[in-house]
Amino acid sequence: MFGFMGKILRVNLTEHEITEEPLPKKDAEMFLGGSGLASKYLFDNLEKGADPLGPENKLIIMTGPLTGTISPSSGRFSAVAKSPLTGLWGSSNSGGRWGRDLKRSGYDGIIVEGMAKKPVYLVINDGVAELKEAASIWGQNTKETTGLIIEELGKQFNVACIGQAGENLVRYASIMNDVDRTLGRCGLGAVMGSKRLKAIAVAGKHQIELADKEKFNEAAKKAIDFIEESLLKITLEVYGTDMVLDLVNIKGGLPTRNWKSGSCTYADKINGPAINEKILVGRTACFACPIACGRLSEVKTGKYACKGEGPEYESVGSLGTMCDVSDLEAITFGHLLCNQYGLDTVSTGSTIAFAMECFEKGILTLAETEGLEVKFGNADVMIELIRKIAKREGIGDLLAEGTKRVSQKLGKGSEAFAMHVKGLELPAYDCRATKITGLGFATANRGGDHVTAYVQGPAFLDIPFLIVEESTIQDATIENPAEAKVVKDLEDALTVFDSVGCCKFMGMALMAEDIVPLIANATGWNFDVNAFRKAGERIFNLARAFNIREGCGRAEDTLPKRLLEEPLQEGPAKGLVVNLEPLLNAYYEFRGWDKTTGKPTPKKLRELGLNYLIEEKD
Amino acid sequence: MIRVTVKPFFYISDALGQRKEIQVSLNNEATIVDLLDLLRKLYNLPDEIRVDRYKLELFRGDETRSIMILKNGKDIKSLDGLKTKLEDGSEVAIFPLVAGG
Repeated sequence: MFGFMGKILRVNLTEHEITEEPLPKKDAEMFLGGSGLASKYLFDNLEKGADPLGPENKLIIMTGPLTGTISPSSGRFSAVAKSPLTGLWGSSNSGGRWGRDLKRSGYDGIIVEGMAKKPVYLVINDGVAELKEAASIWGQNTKETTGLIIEELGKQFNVACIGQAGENLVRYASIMNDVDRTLGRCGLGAVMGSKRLKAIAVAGKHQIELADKEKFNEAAKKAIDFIEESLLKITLEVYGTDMVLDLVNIKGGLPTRNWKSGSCTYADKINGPAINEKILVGRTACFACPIACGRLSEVKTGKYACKGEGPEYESVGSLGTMCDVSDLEAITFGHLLCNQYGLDTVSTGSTIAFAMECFEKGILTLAETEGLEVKFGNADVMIELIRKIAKREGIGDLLAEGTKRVSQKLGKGSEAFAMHVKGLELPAYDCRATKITGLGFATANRGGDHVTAYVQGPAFLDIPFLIVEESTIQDATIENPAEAKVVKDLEDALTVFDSVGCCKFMGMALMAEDIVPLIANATGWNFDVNAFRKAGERIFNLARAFNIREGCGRAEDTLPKRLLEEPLQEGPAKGLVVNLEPLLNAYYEFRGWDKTTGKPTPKKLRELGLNYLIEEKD
Repeated sequence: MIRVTVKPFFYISDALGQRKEIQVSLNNEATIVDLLDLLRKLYNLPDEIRVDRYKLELFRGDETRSIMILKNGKDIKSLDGLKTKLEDGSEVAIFPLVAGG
């Protein structure tokens, strides 16, 4: 089976049993691989209402047909499960080299089900899989775990693992791979922890067979040449993802003090150039990536001394400005601490910022924080809370539940400034400054997320996304319903990226016409631009159907009250809130969904070849 | 005359001698075009800059390339483009196109 290894590993931890099954060819053609194929498995194999942290949930890790090939930025893979944070479709994507190495071990993906009696870890060595006892590594952080496993098995192994946060079922625990690469969002680390699966180590020498190697190489070279000459590379390689901070700040959309403000006064201390000047010691790239947006940073001395990859813009936004922490060294330390405990930095920083506002308003008191002054701007408190959350100690036990549950528990009006959508904490783009970004947050299947549509690219940063036919946002400070189509088109196109195993940044510089020959010549499928767009739409609708089945619909496609009703007080976005309804109505129209319920219509499902969902989704 | 504050970022700042902020005086009716003319003539803002091993074109004739200009935090694209009028106290940020996040 070209582009694929043709085999899936099913690991039943309750039975301590590993079986192998062929990759279903028809499903691969329909759902491509990666997040798409994993979502198909999840939908078909999970009952409505399943406990995300129970043995019935499935953690499905899947590569795509481009993962591990020379196609640019193809080091990516996905994990999908029912999210313990949102109770909905949970999907996360990561880079590095682990996805490539899973394929080299002989498998396209792994379905983890059940729950082990004692901690275990999975080893896949060149086509042979076994479960090993993990008593000695349980309780170790992700960096130590990776080191200990490599020490035991050998340097050829690559490790994906959870830290203490996943073990302790923190609802936004991450899975780390290649030490500092992250399956960050949706709490999939807690799913792994609930199954008592500490790590997955992979190694092997299997080759990926391609349908037409010559044409594939030609298409890959063309794509790499584009990227090499693109603005994308010039900017991301030099300054990393944090380059966007100044522009977002100037536009008044940098969430500061839990989104009470849209700009901070200390951007020059925490922006891309500040990272370069103060802490950068190297640049890193995922497998086959011509860009190298990764930072290798080091704080050499002091209480925040640390070394590792990052921080990315989102970590700077969540642990930095949302908490009003202006110390880059503290942010970097906090970011790496999250990586080591296995915590999503976005949800962690956002939840801490929410706690800070609750404390400021007297909703959270010193008695509940055990004497900790949970004040905005206090870097040491931000760090201390990361530790407490990971260990579920004291107030950390509450905060480990995520912003939505904390606000439900605390009440007293805190729901209005609980900055999440569907339970997933929002990333660092205030959509009051660029309205269409809010539509992307509201409709993302995994909850308040910025990389499902990435519409802040054209809206905030003025970056065109060549992967869709039209991505122009004229004036982002105005709600323009016609532009809801950009969100829909980007969601569909970028869904393909998560499914074939390619970085979404490529979508800025490459057109569908550039990616299609890569997929077609890797797999041998009759795959054209129309098939590309339809596949993305199909997978997006499948994930939507999963959410609909769990009882989620139009009412949940919304934004926190603060963004809908509380105008920004200063800056260029002063006085603005998001008027979401006209954007949503237009969006449902473009999607072919019922405007009242938010459900995909039978007509749309039939058009996408998803007939079997028509009965089931109700 | 009006006083306008220019905030150049990244490579634009480098091209203007690492300046983070420049105060300029312009005629009352001045637009972004006049400001860019001034930066090009008086501060030697070039048409093309080198970034690492790449060339980045900022201007081609009267057109701008690969840069984004904001007046008081608003993209001039959503105002009157290069003809956007400036006022006393206006803040103009000039960014190269950025990516990331």
